[in-house]
Amino acid sequence: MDNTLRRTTLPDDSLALAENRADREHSLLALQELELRAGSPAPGRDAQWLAQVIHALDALETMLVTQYENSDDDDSILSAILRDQPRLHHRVVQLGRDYRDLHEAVSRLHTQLEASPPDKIHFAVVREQLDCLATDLRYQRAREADLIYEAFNVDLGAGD
Amino acid sequence: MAHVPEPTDLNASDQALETHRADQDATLTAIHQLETALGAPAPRREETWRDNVLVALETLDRAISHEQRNADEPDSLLSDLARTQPRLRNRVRGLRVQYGQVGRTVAALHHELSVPDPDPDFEDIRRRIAWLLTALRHQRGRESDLIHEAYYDSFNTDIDNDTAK
Repeated sequence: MDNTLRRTTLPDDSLALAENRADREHSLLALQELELRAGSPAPGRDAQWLAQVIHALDALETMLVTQYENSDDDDSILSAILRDQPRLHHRVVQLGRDYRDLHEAVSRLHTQLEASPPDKIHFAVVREQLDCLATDLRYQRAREADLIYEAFNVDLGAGD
Repeated sequence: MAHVPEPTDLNASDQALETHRADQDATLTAIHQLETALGAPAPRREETWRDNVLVALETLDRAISHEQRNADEPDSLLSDLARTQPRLRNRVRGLRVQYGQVGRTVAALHHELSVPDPDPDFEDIRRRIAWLLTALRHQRGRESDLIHEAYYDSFNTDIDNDTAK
């Protein structure tokens, strides 16, 4: 039998699926909150703006760590793909690397903003940095949804 | 002679601000719907994916057009700013130009996606719409900054709630 063509079904009420959807939902909400804060008025209220952005960035970072750790568990959906679907192995590995890189980028920006005095912050630049992170995160979420659909025929996006 | 800003009618501004917030809320909801559609799985269901993106793009197109129409009204918040605060007039004009550009890009993407294609390049579409949404967010941020500055100048106080909401 050709294992590379095997396609496994995943029950819609599977715990791994529920956990993945919950993690995605939490990180999406954290991202949207961050975007809301970044898009709020900045000139003349730099300290307040920066504090809100750092707080939201902190929440997003926490969610990404949780999501990454959960996806690394043996009983996660991504682990199941690694185990059962050799043809998709490299895409799971790449997705894991991309998530790690993204988390590191979020963490670096977080550290940088915490170390910056509010009056030295160029908010337009910070917004641009956040836009890049948000675009990357959304792109990775989409690739993860593609991967899981290809593996299990489950629309992960339906949980968003 | 230095131009003295006209006094602003607080009640009228509050109403314009409320309209502006409602429009921004509707646009933000449309952005989120589009992002959800873009982030849904695409391979092996490309046409369904494309159709859902198209519907979400239509919703965004309507929301932006509505927001733009309201912003162009003589009693809108932006019109009020342009009239009463000359130093902000160029920024208001810049925002209006950006509104127009974003609206045209949305319409062009909508037109392009409307052409039946059994095998759309979903990676490319995701990227291009992501750029569009980044531009839209940039515009919203600039608009929030502008309105906050104008409000502070007029009333010497912060707007209670973020205009980005």
